[in-house]
Amino acid sequence: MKTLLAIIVLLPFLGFLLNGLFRKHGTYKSVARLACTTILSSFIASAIVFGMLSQGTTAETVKYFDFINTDSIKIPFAFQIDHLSAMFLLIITGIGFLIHLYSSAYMKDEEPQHYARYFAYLNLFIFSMLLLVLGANYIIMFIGWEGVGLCSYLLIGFWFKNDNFNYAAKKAFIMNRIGDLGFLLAIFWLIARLGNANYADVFANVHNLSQTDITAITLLLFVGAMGKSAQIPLYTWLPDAMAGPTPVSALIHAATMVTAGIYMIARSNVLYSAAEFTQHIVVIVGLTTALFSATIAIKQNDIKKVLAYSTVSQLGYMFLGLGVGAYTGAVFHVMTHAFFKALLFLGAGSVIHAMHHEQDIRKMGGLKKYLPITHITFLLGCIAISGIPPFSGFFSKDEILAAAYEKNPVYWGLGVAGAAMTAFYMFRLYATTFLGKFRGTQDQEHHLHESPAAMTIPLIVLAVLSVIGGFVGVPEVLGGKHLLGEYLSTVIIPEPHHALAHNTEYMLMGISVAVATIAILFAVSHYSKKPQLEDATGLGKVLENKWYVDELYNTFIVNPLNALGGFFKNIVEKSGIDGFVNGIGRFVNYLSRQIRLVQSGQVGGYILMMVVSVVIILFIWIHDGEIYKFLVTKLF
Amino acid sequence: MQTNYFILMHHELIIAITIMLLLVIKVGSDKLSNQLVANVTNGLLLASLVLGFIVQPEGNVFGDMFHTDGFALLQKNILVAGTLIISLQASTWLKDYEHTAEFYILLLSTLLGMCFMISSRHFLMFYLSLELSTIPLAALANFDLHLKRSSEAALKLIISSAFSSGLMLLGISFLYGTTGTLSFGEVASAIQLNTPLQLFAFVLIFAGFGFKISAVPFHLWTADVYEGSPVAVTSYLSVISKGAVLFVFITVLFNVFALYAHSWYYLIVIVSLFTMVIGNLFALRQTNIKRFLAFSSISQVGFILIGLSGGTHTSAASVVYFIVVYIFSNLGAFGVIALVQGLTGKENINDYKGFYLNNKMLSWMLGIALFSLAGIPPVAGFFGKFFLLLSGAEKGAYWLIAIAAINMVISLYYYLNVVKNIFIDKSDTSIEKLPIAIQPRIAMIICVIGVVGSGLCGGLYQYIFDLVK
Amino acid sequence: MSQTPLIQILFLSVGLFFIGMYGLLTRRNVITILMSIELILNSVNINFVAFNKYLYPHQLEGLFFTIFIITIAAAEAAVAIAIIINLYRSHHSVDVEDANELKW
Repeated sequence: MKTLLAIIVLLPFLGFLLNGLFRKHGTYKSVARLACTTILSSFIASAIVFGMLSQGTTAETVKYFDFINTDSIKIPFAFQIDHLSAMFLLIITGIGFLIHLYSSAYMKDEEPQHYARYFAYLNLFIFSMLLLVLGANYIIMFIGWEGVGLCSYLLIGFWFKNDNFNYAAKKAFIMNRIGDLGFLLAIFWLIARLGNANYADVFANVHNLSQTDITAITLLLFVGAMGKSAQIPLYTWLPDAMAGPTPVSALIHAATMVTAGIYMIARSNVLYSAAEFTQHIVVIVGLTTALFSATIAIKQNDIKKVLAYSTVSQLGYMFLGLGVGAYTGAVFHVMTHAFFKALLFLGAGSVIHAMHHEQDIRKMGGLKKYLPITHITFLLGCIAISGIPPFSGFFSKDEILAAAYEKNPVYWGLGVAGAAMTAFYMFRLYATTFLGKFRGTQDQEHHLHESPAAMTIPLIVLAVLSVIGGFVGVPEVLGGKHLLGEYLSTVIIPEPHHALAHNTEYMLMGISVAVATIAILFAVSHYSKKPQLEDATGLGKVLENKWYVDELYNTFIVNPLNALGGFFKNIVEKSGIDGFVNGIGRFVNYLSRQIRLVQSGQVGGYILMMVVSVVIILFIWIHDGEIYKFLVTKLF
Repeated sequence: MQTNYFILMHHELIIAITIMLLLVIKVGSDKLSNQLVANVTNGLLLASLVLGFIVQPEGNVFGDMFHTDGFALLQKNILVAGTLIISLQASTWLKDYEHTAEFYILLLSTLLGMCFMISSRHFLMFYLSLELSTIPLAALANFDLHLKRSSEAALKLIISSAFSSGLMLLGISFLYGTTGTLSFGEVASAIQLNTPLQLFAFVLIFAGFGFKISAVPFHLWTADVYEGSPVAVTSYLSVISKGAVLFVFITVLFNVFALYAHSWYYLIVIVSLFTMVIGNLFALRQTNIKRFLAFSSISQVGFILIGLSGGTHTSAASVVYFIVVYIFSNLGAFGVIALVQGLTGKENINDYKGFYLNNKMLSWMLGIALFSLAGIPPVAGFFGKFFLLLSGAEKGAYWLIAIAAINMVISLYYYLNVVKNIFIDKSDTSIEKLPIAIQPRIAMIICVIGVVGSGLCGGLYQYIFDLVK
Repeated sequence: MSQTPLIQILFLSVGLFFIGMYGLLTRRNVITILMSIELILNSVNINFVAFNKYLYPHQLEGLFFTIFIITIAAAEAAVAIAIIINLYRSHHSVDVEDANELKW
């Protein structure tokens, strides 16, 4: 197991090194092969691990070496392999591989050197993500956490010649850093209270922590999760992150990295279950984000922006699940969401590819007949995300909603409203893009074509997974067995669930499905004939401009900070600190010039100096050094 | 028992034999090749060094006046190794020098004195060996016979050192008067608190030591002598002789005056403070590179005194470790300077402008050495200073550490100023490519390995620490 | 026979010491300075001998020390005079104040 895990983690790193170091020597073929092979091997190894665990191999912690070893703190570099991390391994390497494959065709337009750079980053990302989920303590998780943040930054700014993209990259990085601060503080707090940050020790010692400690730690961890998983108020980076190549959006900003926050909280479920207040906060933030970003998504016209806001909204659902204690449900939704959102993004990528990097859906339409495979798979993805049975999204979303209902019917109501909006904007997107007639230029229409096999195969695989992926978690009431729940039961304390009467549950499902269906039908009928082309007005305009949140942040946070920075730079530093520092320099120089004169070159003077010094020492030595003691202790 | 003498004193014996041999050679033949003399000496020094690591006896001789153990042997090995490096570096200068044999005789005499000094456990022994290690040095300082400043340096050295040993002797005589004994161990047990005469004695002995290690305010001779002497002698003065006296200082402070520990702590703290600050202030505006290194070595002594102030095993180990590092770094710097001075006669900092253009290897050597002296990680100087400050902080004088840190910053300025001269500045009259003979090359390699290795090899400090215990 | 008290001998030695110091600081002739140093060393010698005779009459450590100090002083003087000769060759003077090329 020890070697196997090392292989899983190190192979992508190897790919990163080779592609990164020899990026000027590789061809398209060699680079893509290397990158895909390493991830595929990693995936196979992960599948073996997953299989071993489901065959009854017990979870274990394997230690490689001491990462930090001091008297008071010992942080081992160790991996923890259990059912939760095994599942994430599969998702990361599996979807990672599909997206590598897809990218090998999608990124062909780049120069070979940048092509290799792209894959090096992508491999590094997989490596960091694996570290994140495999780490056996919060420190290792944090290393991976920062690693994925770095890769996200590098990949968003992949086309670094465009300033806007660089700004987007910086924005993502800085917002993440704000969250990371919370995460770091939480780690420090844990270490201060418990002496280390190993999961096993932390979870075993939860009862030793005071309620205040637990609440503070979980809240701080949640701040970290907010940054990484794009929750209010730290969500604005994610839509901007769409500046990166589309496969990157699919992998990092939809399927894997943004779910790191979910993973972290699911991993810490023992802590969160003990912190009721934090759970309330998580629910509120999750729900608000889910609804808020859904409203924005309704009025977006950039195909990737719609998907981005949809991602934010779905992440909100997952946090809702975490907040109400449905950890399994949240992880389940991570999985299904990874399938269909990756599918949707890749489908969008295929569309963008066909449209020659046109992303505005108002200039599309009627693509159904030009891109048949993309169309079908995209449609399946839309149905899945809308929560129509028996597609995967239905099961996972239903599980979260049912748990929410149990906690508080209001949560459920809001959740269903969000689900309706999801269905609505997804099918608005679908209808505007694929139905109706083509609205682009002649030139674009002429070039429309279906994408190559390397791109369509991942689409098909993901579409299949989106359709059937839900069957691993069929709720009891529908006569199924919750395989996923059983699988994860060793890691996540099974919630006392399904106290709901079967009738109630049927009713809940019925309502949510019905609402979603109505929304779909409305959207399709409305937008396939008469897509909205002109700029929105009134509330629509507010939504189109994302509730002016960016502007709000700029006015109240960024600009005042900039002004403060300007003040410090121009006033405090220039005249204050610089003056002070240079003043010290001048003073030292002056002293040096003056004191040099003691060295007269006269040996008699030197001897006199010695004699005088001895006398002075003797003089202040009287009373057994009391004067020295006074000088040393009082004067300084 | 007879063989015991030979084994216990093997360092001293080999050095004494070498001196005798050189005397015989010198007397026996007028025309002897400098190379031969140098090679014989280097070979015997190397033999002594190797033997010093292999044979590690422990015991007392001469009625307990002479004591040796692993720690003392380590110190002697350090000194012998340093002398060997200096001897290798000096070969450029000595090649055509008429008094090579005398140079070595005097050099080895001082080394012999230092070895005895480290092992001495009696004030008589200590005084004799101290003088043995000082008087020939004054003669050595005069070895640039035709240079005015060389004889001036020698004069200043001999007068001030004679006076300082006078002070120290006075202190020793008072110690004898009050305790009736001169053996370190017996003095330590006979010493009493609050005896004015003993206090006086302590201050006088402290002044003597302060002079030898050039601690402020007893440092004034240092720069003049360093500047005037031949480079080889300067490096010997600044490294070996200072190191030897510091080793003995550890013994005297920690053993003989252990009873006064609580009060000499404050004295040392204040002296170290002045030494750091004043050494730095002087160094800032120097233009002669030897003089500059003299002042920088004064401020290094200030750091050493901080480590010493801890008064524990840790501080003894940290001081010895720092001296090892300091020997390598300082000799690395002096090696380059000796080469440049020997071949071109230039010794101003400005002469080093554009040095990197023609002398890549020498520039790197000097750069690394200066970085180590400045205490920049990952070279050894950083760890040396780190351990010193760590042991100094044991008594809780954090403000002292803060001042030391500020001083490190100041020292960074002038060290990097030299580095800037070498690597960045351009000059029309930059030094030509210098040929490096085999001996200085070996010395240089040893220094580089030492500077980098003793920093990276974490076991070294532990090794020293175990020996101290 | 009445013995001279120890304190008087110590006064003598201290007096000698300060005469030496005075000479060291005021004289400019290097030879005189050397003599002053000898005075300082001799005051120490008197100390040792007196302490040995008055306080610890049954041992010889002080006397031995004195003999060694005398020897060392001779060696020191020999080297110092050699240096002075050299100095005279280069400076054409034995005045310490002329030896001030190295400073600052």
